[in-house]
Amino acid sequence: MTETLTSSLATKPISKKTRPAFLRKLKVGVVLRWVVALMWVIIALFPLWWVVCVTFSPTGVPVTQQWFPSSLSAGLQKIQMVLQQNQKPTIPNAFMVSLYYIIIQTAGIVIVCSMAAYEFALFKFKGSNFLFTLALSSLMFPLVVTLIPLFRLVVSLKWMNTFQGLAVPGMASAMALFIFRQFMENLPQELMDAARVDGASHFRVYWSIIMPLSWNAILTVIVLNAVGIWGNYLWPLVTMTKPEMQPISVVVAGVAGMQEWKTADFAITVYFLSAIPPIAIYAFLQRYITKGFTMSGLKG
Amino acid sequence: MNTPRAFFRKNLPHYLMVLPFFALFAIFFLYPIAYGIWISLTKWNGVKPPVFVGLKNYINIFTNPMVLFWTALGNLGKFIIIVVPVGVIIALGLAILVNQFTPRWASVFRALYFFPIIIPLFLSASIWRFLFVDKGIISSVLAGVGLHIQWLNDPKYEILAVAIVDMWRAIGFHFLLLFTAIKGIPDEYYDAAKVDGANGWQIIRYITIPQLEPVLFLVVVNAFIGGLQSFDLPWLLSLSQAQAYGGVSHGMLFPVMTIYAQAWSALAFGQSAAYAVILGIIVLAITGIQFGFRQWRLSR
Repeated sequence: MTETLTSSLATKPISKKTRPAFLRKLKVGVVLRWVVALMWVIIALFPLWWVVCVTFSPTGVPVTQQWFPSSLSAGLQKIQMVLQQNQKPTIPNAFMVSLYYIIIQTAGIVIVCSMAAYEFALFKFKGSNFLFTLALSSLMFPLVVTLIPLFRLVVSLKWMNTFQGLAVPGMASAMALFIFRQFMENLPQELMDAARVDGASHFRVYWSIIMPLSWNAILTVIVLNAVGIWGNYLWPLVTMTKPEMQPISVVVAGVAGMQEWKTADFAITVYFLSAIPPIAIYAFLQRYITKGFTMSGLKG
Repeated sequence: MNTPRAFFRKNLPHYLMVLPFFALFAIFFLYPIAYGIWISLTKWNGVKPPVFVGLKNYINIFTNPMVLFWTALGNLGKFIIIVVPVGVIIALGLAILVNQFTPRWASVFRALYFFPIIIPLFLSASIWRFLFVDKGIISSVLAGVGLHIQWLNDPKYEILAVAIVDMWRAIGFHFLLLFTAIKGIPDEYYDAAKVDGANGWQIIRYITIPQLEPVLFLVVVNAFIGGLQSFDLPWLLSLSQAQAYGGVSHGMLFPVMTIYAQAWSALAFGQSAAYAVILGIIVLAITGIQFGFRQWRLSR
């Protein structure tokens, strides 16, 4: 009791002298830290914030005066106008094409790449090292090297303006193979031995033991590819020449150049709508996106 | 034991599992590369059968001023000179800054800084074009402080506009890599430095940065390779079409834009394929230098 009293008495005069100065110094540093950190938040978010502001403001207000959204009904009206615009390519159709594109290609990637990764992660067989290195080396090649020959191949397969032409060439994804393998390598080997003793076949072990345990990797691959495919532009631009087969990227990029749609309101509302799916995915599955991007960035 | 039959019985299940991946990989990656090299040695408009011309396409790219190879390369050089130092310094600064916050706030900032990466490139380019136009929001804010810059029409500033949008995106990604790496530095290093009486700046200079060197190196290489392959951003910022591309005085011309436009408007498939092969070789050379450098560092 007395001890605590004396010790508090002893420290009090010292803290009285140093504390205000210390606090002041701390405050400047902390405030500065917050100001800089928040400044980059504003820069990172501003373009999309601006799109929201313009979409949800009455038509005709100069874009330089729209710092905050001011009218929900004006925004909804614009969205309705965009969705009902019936000149090809229509926006809902472009959304559907992109959705199919994502579903087909991602399903293919998950199946094909997880099967191969299962082998590379858990088994050694003749040529396995060579094959895996060969697959990963494709990550070093810029995609543009294959653009023209791939296009000619799609033409001769008569796959122009089809979903297989859009989605199949990208299915053998070395990045997904890499992510799956990294994950499966860390699965406990005992599980497979147990399954083996039970007499499960090679494929059964993959399908009913490894895959159900790999949900984390599957989700990472799905999310990463869904966001990536939503943004694919050059490949659909060269292979999808019919308006009704164009995904959102090609349609949105074309909005600015189109005479009939030329109002800025229309274009910006389209931008707003096409930003929603990736943002929604990010909002709900952020963990998988950052993990996937970190892995893809640090590969090799 | 070593009969072919025994070999197949042992390895066949493995080969069957990797077959789908490598079938697709062979058809849509290996074959197109070989096919692309063949196309690059021919004169071909996509209609008549290709005619073998040897290295004529390659010589033409380097010597014919109409191809604008050196213009594109010059633009790329300027782009890299801006993007690499500025982008890396900002990303590194933000990573060190955010690391000072409590883990909860750090993860909030991380999520927000990463946001621009989620927005697909075609969309970012389209939105930023609206921000950059004359009487747009950036021009009018800058005009308020007496700066009158025509971002998209003045050849002096076109590359800067592309670089700004690229950095706005890439910094989020580089930040993520650097921040993850910073968190991986063992606390003991900092403690030891503090015991030795190092101040904040010295800790960053002698502990953080050397520890981050591999990631910093990766970031620089990624900027090079990314610039070599960039298409969506300069193409859409400059409102390019297959017939007229590259912005005012070709100030936004990037290599891939020429490849696309020459193939799909001038039908110069042979020459575009050759251009793509050149780009592929440059990218491989950079990757090779990166790899060699890393080996050299490790061996020291």
